[in-house]
Amino acid sequence: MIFLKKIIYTCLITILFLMSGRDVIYSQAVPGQDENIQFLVTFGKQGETSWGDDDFSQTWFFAVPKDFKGRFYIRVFDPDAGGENDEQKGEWDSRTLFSVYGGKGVDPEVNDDSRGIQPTGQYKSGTLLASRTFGSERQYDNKYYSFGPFNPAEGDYSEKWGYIFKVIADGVSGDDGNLYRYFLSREPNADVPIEGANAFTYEYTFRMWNNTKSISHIYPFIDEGVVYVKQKNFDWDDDGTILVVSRVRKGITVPISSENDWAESRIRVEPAEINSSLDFQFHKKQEFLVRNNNVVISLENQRGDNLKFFSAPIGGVPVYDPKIGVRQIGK
Amino acid sequence: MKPFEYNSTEYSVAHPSVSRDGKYLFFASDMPGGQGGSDIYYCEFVNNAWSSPKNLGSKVNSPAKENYPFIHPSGRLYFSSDRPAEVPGLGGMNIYYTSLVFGEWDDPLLMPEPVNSASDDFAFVIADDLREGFFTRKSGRYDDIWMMSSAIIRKQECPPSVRETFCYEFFDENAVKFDTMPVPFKFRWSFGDGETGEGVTVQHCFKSPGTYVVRLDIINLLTNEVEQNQKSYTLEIERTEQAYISGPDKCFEGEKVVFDADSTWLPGWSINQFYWNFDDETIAIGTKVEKMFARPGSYNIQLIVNSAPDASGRTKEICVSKNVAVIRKQ
Repeated sequence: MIFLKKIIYTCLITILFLMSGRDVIYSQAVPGQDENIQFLVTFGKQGETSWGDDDFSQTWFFAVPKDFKGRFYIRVFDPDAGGENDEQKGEWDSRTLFSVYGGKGVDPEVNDDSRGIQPTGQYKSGTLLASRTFGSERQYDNKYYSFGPFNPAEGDYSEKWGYIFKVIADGVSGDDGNLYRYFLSREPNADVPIEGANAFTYEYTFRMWNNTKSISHIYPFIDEGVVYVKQKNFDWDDDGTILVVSRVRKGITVPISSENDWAESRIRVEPAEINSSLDFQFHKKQEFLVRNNNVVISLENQRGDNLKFFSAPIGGVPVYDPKIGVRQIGK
Repeated sequence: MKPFEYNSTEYSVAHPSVSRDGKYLFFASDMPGGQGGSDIYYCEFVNNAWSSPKNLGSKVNSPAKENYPFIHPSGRLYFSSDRPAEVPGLGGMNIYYTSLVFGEWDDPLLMPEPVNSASDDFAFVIADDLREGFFTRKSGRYDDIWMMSSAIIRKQECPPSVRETFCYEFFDENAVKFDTMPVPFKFRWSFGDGETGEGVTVQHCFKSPGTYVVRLDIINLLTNEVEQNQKSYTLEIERTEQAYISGPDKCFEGEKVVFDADSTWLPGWSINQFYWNFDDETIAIGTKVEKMFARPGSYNIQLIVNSAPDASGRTKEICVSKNVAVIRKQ
């Protein structure tokens, strides 16, 4: 019976995964199109956490559908720390190590350390498929570097997610902030998505917009059995409001952190929100612009298990759906 | 069976009448301390026993003899008295009625002829619907029982007339049910009749029946964006099929007031008659009627509407009521 339930659940996730609000999911851009986030951020480990990176490391997973047989590449946009986009602290001296892992040990549902919430323990588990360290390199400034080609079979196979690959960005030295993006592509020199692929992380470190009007989003998926989620956010600099939206909630606000500290709170999960994504919206402070604000956010459920943020929300972007009730009175 | 605890060997205790709820016992007695002759008294049933008799006072009782009380379910008290009648030609004992007005027994009124006559008329009882009654009339050496009937229609079952308000409460079920923390939103409702309201839950009264498209806009207070027409709801309001009494809830004694049945909504009825019973032995016919209450008190007006016979000879009838307080003029 448990096996049957597992199969049904896997099918449900797969269907949601494939439908994902559009005809076909194309989520290989990290950050994703619906997230409206410009860059991921990883500082060199000599940096200060008050600049918005709590651990100088960021881990992402790419899930390649099991029926995809072609070769693919993991492209990194602006992998160097220097020139455009990046955050300079004194001289450009940061070096960022990008590592791609496959094989056994990568699947974060099997290996907790692999999630990379903290760059400790076996967070580099799996087989190292490729890596490169970037300093300040003009040839890759504001340009792509492509890892690969990779064969899907090199990933860690998961019945639920397909072939999983892990990319870790470690700020191995220096103190500058490296701002970058990923793209899972069929081609080394162009962004050509793979139908049905997705990407996810357990701890998101990113750059907020440098304008007060743009709203960024991240989309955690709420699994069966989740009663509440605990959100933890770091170094938000009191910059605006985090609003949590779902199909049945127009939006609730959650506490946000200030400079170099954490804020956390619990959010009760309603039954109607199970097997769907939440929309964490990041609204900037309107009174004045907080510039170059780098932030960290993660979620865990009531059992302490971390939740995934998908770059393309499973089940689509949750849109609040009011339900008008009417009652005659005064009779 | 046991004797009434206030029976006495010194005086008479007679003619009992118990209220419908069993709480009050009216009777006649010539016990000491009355107004003269025999008087009407009552006892209240408290803690499983009858309270001490209380005299109904000088408005009901007189130096003459009062007896044969009968308490009707409406609260009206009938009794007989041989006090001098103010109407010429009536006999020694006549039938009167009175009722409590704002806690006091009011001046008794004579039952009209032919119930009262030149002979002695007494011991009156009447049915709940006031249509049929019985009393005793002295005829020569003997007493006879007479029956009276009234053409006045009064219904026993007649629910209150319900005022239509067309009032509704609108709410966003999800916001009410799930949002337990302060939310940075304003919910704005357009009711489809030109009126608007704000709040997760709002109440609105429409002026008349009709079809209204109620629209919910949500204003995001973080961005000040108005998310228009987040949801709409088509509300069909129909009139309640009922007879309806329009008129004052209170008036003064001797004041002319108007009652009408214009707001009656009985689709499909071919109405034959609007019949009004003013609860004071008077009636009127018509959709709009004038009325002047002679005495203060609480009156339960009935409007009885009946239809003309249909092809198969069947008629329909509906009754609604309205309470009117008639206030004594200072």
